[in-house]
Amino acid sequence: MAKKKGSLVHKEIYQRINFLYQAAHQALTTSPSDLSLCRFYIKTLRAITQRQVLRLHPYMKRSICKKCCVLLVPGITMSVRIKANGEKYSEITCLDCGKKCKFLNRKNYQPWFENPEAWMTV
Amino acid sequence: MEFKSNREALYSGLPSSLQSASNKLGIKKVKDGFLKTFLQKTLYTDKKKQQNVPLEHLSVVSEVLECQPKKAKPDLGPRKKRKTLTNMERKKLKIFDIKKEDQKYEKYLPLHNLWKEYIKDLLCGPKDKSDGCLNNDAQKLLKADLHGAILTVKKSKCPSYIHTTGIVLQETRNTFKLITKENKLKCIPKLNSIFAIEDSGIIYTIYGNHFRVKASERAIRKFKSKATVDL
Ligand SMILES: [Zn+2]
Repeated sequence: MAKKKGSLVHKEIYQRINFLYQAAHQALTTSPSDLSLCRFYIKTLRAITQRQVLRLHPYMKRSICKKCCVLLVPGITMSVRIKANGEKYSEITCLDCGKKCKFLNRKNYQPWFENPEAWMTV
Repeated sequence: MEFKSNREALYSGLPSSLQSASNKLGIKKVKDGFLKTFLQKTLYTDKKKQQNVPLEHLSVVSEVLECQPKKAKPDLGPRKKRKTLTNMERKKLKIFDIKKEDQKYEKYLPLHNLWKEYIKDLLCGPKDKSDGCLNNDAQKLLKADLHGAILTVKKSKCPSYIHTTGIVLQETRNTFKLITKENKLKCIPKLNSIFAIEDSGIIYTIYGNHFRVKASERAIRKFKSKATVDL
């Protein structure tokens, strides 16, 4: 899942991040009522990236709640609503802690990470 | 008549033509119990309605509300800007504590399978068992993640811990949290114990005394090779 392997030095850490992400996903699907394990794995994942100053892929980063470290899966732990307050935006709400996040729906807007130029090939 | 047939269609299974092609369409079976817990969590309960105050009390309540002096919001200073939880708040909310009831060993077998694949990727495998390769593997395993591994306590100062085997669910700075085959959650301190991990026929031994680091910080830390110390 960590597509950007900057160099082979960090390969083991990327493997670990990948494993933790998948483990969190599995913990969520096996017991949707108990979020503690999912939280713990995501928390360790974030601690590793913060210590190593690595960047997660934006899609991965957006699937994690900023506040309570829960993996956000639509319908189970998060809700997505399109709202308009002048400009249209999609509002993502964490169902566990209520943290809200807004993403603008702008026409013809392409984030930098979706640009093929942004990708390094190793 | 039509209504009834519609109803029947609603609760019937998928047509056999679709079921046979389920592999192509990517339809998966939901795990047992998933739907039940999901519904329990998401369905609207009538609790809120029941707790509502009857109408005749409303006037009293409004009077009480009016009489209350308005409290000024406590000035939190720069902390107010913070969007995440602090460590103290996290501890208070008990976010990371596993619920003790309804824990089953079989539930965590997929986690162990995931870990096996991860370790197979990480280590060079059973093909060549030269000393250098084993050394390399041991170094890698020190920095690997142990969530999902099957751990056995080999030796310990406390005799009741010895020979407990289970899947690691959480690893903190000083403890491992294991789930045993008897569906019990056990917290085992790293201090004064020796653990063993088995991977494809090779048994690795972990000295708990030297392992007392946070799981997230182990990836960076450099381990000094120490002479093995007996308990
Ligand atoms: Zn949240």
